[in-house]
Amino acid sequence: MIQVENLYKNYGKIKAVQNLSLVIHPGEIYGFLGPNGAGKTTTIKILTGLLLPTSGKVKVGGFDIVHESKYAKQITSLIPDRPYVYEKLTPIEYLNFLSGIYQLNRHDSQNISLKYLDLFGLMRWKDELIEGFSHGMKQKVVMAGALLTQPKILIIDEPMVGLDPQSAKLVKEIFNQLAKQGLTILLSTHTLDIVEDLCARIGIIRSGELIAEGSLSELRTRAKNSNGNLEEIFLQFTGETDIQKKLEYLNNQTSNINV
Amino acid sequence: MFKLLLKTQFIRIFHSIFKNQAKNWIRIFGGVGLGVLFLSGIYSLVFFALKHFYYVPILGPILIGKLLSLIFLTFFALILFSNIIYTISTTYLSDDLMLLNSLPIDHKDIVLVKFLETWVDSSWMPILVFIPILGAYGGVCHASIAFYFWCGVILLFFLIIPSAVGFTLTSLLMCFFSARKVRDLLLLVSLLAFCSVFVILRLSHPENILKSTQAMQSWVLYLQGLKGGTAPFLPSDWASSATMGALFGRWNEFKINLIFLLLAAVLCFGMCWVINPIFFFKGWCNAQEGNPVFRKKVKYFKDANILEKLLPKSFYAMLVKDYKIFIRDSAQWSQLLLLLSLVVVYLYNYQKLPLNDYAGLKNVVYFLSIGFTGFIVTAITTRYVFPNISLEGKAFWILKSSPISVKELMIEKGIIAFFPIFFLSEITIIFSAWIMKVDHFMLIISLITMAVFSIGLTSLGIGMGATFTYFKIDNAPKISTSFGGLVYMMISVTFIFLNLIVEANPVRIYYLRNPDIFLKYPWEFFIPCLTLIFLNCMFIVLPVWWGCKKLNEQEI
Repeated sequence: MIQVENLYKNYGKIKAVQNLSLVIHPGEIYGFLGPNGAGKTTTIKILTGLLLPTSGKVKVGGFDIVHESKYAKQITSLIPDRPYVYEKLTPIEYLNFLSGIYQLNRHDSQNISLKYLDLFGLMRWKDELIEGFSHGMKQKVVMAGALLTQPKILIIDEPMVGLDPQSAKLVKEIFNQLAKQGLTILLSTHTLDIVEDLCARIGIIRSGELIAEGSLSELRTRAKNSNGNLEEIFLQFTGETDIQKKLEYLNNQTSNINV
Repeated sequence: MFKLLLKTQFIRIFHSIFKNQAKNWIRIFGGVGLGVLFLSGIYSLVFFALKHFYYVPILGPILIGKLLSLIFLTFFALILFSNIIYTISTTYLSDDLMLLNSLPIDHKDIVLVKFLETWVDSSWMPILVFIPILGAYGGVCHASIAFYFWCGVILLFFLIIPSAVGFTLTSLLMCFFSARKVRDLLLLVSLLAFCSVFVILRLSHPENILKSTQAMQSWVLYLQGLKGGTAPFLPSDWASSATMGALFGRWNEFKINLIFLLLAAVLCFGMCWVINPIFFFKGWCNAQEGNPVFRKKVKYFKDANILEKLLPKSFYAMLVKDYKIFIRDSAQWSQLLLLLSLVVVYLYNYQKLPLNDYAGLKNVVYFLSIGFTGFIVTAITTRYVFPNISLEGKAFWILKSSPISVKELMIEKGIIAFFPIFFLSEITIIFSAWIMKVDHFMLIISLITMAVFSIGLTSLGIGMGATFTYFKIDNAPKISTSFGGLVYMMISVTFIFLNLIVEANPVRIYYLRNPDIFLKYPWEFFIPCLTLIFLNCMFIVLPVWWGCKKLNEQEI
């Protein structure tokens, strides 16, 4: 469903993504992990047509994201890490707007909109301006919008930021169910238990390069850590294993500072 | 702590100017060049006017003094209002306040830094405008170097007063109302007040003073009688009197007014320093609340089923979205009042033009009025069409990641913007034609020209708006006065000029010689027509094509 071949993205001299290749199959939930600044959001932006790649091929649902972006975007939805939406619209108006942009049937989309607003606990607020909403509520509006368009591919960047535990659990359940119905999900997050619970395969990216890929058990084998949880394995791959040393160093330094 | 905060603000400003992108240098130099051009224009204009006034016997010095007093008064009101608006943005809605208020910093330090930020934000433009004005005063009256030094001192004291008053007033208001409500309300009130003064002033027939000898005499007497200040209790009057004192070496007048200014500035700043920290935190907490929740279900477009059926779905969705956002954001529509009052006064001026006896002059004036109407439309498109793409703001990712192509987006935005612009320009020109009673030939020419202007200015606005995007600015007036906005305005004015220049010759031939000449020498008509078609195609197609390319490449 998603094919990335030798993808490069440079910002001037900075190489944000280097020689990235990955394949995500229909109905699969793919966990996309990496430390801050690894190139996850850049990759996501390229996959959704928000950025142009420097070189390489990206196919989404069989469509080239550069040359056939219209078709690729029609079957893809994005949930970005920061929920910027039209603040002077109400949630229901925002969803109506999206249904128009995605050319959905007005009557059906109206029903689906209400269903999702209800699901995310936003029915009470459906006729109020988004500008007064909290971060979590805005995130829910964006999620409702992403699901309303009934995409075949869902690309998610940090879905749980700002969500309360109840909503986070709900979102996890929704993703799981939708994947069972054939939705392909690329999930980028730092909440590793979600990845552990949901993702069939995991890709770890560092400094723009894919350094490890496979199921959790495959990653354990590669890391030679048969009992380790995802956090340990992630730290092993990303070279952040010397945390203890850093903490000791920090303790020594802070004890010398007089406040 | 205050020094550290101030240093951080300076670093922030420095980075935003110099450490952004390499191409910003082009913008910086372009902006500086345009600014110098603009200021030179103001200098020349004021110099010319002052020279004209100054050498009027007896009245000259009084006239230029009154003019300066009016300028200071206008700026006093402008700075006061702009400070109120700026204070809300810089001191109560700014993103960095969340961090600052969570740090162990005294509220006094935060308030002082924010006051300085507001003061700089609201004062740099008046200072820039004052430099050529005071320069022209010095130039006309052959002032010494000391005059320019004292002008700097006077300006410094003068600018502190309205800023401190505005800042304190806002803090008090913020304690009782939510930030957005205060801003919207004040914007509306100030614009309504300005429009009323503008229209009332015009409708009071100031030109009658020149027509009637009796009125002229009484006006002269009035001016002579008013050798004292126009508003002796206002700092604007102290500032203008001190400036005139320094200009003509009337040092007693200068000293006393400078002392008044200094005392007022110290008093206002002290008041600001004492009062604001008390109310700041409560006001900021109030500002965290959003607009009052929208309890009432919104019913716009409820009955627009026909439109929904007629228009493509994505087009209708865009139309409804843009319309609702426009209606709900008072910062967007309130300026329309100002522009509409400009149109009213413009039309009223034509009614008062004494052209009844000169048919030839009437046609010339009407032909020129096509250009003037074009400029008015340019003012409107600069404010409402150019910022259209940028106003998508940080939510632009929604459209960019949707199946709508950039080309479709621009066409839809263009069509939505075109119709109001087209109707407004056609109505204005029809009214002008009706007021001036021009013939059918001229009416048809003007109607076609305005239609072409509407298409051209709209596509230029959308195209250049896509080329110069400001997604991080959520304030439409700020977008329209940006570097891109200035470039758009200049190209639009060139577009209007070129059209009128090409049209002028066939129109002249039609009126000066036999109209049948077009049958005899058709190239006299066809060559300008072909030139116009080529010219307009260039101005309509090129910006949209270029903007489309740029927006496609735009990375968000």
